Amino acid sequence: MSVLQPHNNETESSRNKNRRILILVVFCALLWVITAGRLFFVQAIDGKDYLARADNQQQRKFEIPAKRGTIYIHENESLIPIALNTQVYTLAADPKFITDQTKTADQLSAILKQPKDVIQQKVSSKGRYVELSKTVDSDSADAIKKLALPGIILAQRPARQYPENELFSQVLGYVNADGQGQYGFEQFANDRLGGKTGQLKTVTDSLGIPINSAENTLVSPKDGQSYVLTLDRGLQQVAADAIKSAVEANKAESGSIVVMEPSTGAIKAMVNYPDYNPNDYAKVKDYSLFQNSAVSKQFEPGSGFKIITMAAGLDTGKVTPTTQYNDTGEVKFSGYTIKNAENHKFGIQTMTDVIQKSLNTGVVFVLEQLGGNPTAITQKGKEVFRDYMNRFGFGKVTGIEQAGEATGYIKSDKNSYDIDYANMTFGQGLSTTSIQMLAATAAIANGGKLYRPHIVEGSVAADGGIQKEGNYLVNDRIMSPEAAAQLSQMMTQVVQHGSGYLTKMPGYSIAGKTGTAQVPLANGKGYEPNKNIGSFVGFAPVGDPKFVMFVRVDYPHVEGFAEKTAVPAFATVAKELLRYYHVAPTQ
Amino acid sequence: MTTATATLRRNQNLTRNKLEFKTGPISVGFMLVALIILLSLLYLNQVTKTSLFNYKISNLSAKQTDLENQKQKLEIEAARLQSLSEVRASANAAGMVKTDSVSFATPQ
Repeated sequence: MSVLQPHNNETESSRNKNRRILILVVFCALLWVITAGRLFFVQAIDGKDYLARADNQQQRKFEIPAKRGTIYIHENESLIPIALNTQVYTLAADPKFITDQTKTADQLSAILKQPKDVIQQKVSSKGRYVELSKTVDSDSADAIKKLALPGIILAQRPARQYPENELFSQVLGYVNADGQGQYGFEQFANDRLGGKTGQLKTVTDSLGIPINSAENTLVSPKDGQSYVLTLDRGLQQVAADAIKSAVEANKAESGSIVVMEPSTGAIKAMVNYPDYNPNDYAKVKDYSLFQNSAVSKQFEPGSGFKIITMAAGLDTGKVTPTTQYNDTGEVKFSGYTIKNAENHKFGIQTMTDVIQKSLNTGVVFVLEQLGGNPTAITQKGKEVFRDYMNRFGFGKVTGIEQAGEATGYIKSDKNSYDIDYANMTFGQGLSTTSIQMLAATAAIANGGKLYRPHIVEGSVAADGGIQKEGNYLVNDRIMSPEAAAQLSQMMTQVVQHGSGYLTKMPGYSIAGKTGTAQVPLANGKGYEPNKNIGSFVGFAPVGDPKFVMFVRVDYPHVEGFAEKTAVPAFATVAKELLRYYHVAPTQ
Repeated sequence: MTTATATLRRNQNLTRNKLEFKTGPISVGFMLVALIILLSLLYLNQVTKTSLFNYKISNLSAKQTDLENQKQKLEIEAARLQSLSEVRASANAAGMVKTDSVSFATPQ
C-alpha cells in the first residue's frame, strides 16, 4: 500500500495538470472562437459600414463648380457679353471672437457703405454666425481682408454680372445665390448654361487637408454652354426708350415692345417697362417685374385679331378685298347684339374698309361666309375659323427660349356658342400673348410662312465659332402668298387712312392694325370699366418686310384708343428700324 | 632555365589563399540597421520632395485662381465700359448730335 501511495499522488497531480491544461486550451479555443466570430462580423457582415466610416475619416469630397456659360449678342463682327461670371463674397461675423465691436463696425461701415449702427448691432449679437452682406464685391473683400479683423468671415461664391443693367433684364432673368437661373433665358437654359459640377475625392491628413495620393479621383467639371442671342443692343435701347415714354406719357401701368425679322423669326428687340436691374434683383419688391410680360402676359387682343379672321376669309376664297356687305352698325345672335366701336355704322363697306375702320360687324360677316351660309354662323364656319387660329399658333406656346411662356386661351368647341365665335372674330373671349400676335403677323408679312420666334442665334463652339441652332420654320404655308399679299395691302390702309395714321412715313409702305382690348373682370362676367390694353402690330416695308413689331400699352389713364397709346411708340421705333435696315423710301 | 624551375614557375599561381568573409550576428545587425536608415532617408527625401511639389502646386493653383479672378474682373470692367449706358454718358457721345433725316444715294 505504502509503495502505491506516492504513485497515486503523482497520478492525481498529473490529472490536475492535464485538467488545467484542458481548461486553458478550452478557454483559448473559446477566446479564439469569440475573436474569430467578432472579426467575421466586423469584416464580413459590418465590413462595408466600417469601410465607409474609415473612408469618411480619411477621405473628403470637394465639389468643383462648373463655369456658367456666357451670354453674348452680336455687334458687327464682335461678340458683346451681356451676362458673364464674377466672384462675390458673403460677409459674416462670429461675434464671440470680436473684441472691439465699435472699431469693427466703424471699419466695415466705411467699406460696405452701410450704416454703422446696423453693423454694430449685428456684430454685438449673441449668435455664433451673423450674416452682414451677401454680395460683397472683390475690391471691398480685398480691403476687408487687409484689415484682418478677428471674427470676420469672408466666403467666396460665383455670381452673375449683367453689364447692360436693365436693358435685357426680363429677357435674360437672373441667377440666384444658389447658382440657379431664374426667369427669362437664364431659367429656360439653366441646365445647359450651368454645366455639370465636378468632384475631387481625395485622401486627407488628420486636419482634413487634401494630400496627394494615388487613391485620389478627380471628375472634372463640364463648363456650361455659352450662347449668342439674336437681340440687337441698339434696337433694344431704342425700343426700351420708346416703351418707357409710351407708358409714362399715357400714365399706363406697363407696356411691351417686341421686334422680329419676319423672314427668320429672329427677335431683334424685346423690352418691357417697368423693368429692373438684374445685378440688384434682391432689391426688387414687386416680383411681377421679373416676368417677361411679352411672353407671359395673356390678354384679349381686341381688334388686332381681326387680321386673323380676315386671313381665313381671304385664304379660303370666301371674301376678297373688294367683297361688300351692308354695315348696319350691329349684328344680332340669339339674344345678343354685337355693335361696332362707338356705335358706328357705315352702310355698304368692302373688306378693306372692315380692316381700315376696324368694323366688328365686318369680321362677323367673314365668319358667316366661312360656313357657306352668308347669313348665319354654321358649324363648318366655326371649324374653319378654329383651324386658322390653330394654324397661326394661337392657344399654344410659340417655343421661344423663355421661361414661363403662356399658351393663351381659346375656348373649346364644346363650350363655345355662336356668340363666342362671333366675339373671337374681333379678339374678345380669347386670350393671346404679344409674341403669338407677333409671330402670326410675321406669317402674313412674309407670304404665309410661320416661323418660331427665337432669341438664340447659336451656341459658342470650342473654337470660338458660332454653331447655329436648328430650323425655325414651323409651317411653310399657313395661307397662300396671294392672300397674304392682299391682307398686307389691306393693312396698309390702316396706316394710310385709319387708326395707324400716326405711323405714316412719306415714301414707306407700312402695314398695321390697332387693337384696343377691354380687360375682363376677374370673375369672368363682363369687363373692367375704363380699363383697356392698347396695341399695334405692323410691319414694313410691305412686299419685302424687314421687321414686324408688336407694341402693347397696359391700362393707360388717358382718353382714346390704341392709336393714341401704342401707335406713337410704334412710329418712333419703326423710324429707327428703317434706318437700321437701310430701307430707302420708294414712293 | 631548368625544367624544375620552369615547372615551379608554371605552377606558381596555382596555390591561392582562400579569402573568407565572415559576418557575425552583430555585423548583420549593423548592416540591417544601416540599410533601414538608408531606406528611411530615401523615403523621407521623397516625402519632402512630394510635399515641396505639393506646396508649389498649391501656390501655382492659387496664382492661377488669382489671375483668373483678375481676368474676370477685367472682362467685366471692359463690358461695363462698353455698355450702352456708359457709351451714352461718355464725353464723345456728349459731342454728338442726333440726326433727324437720312438721305439715301439712289443707284443710277
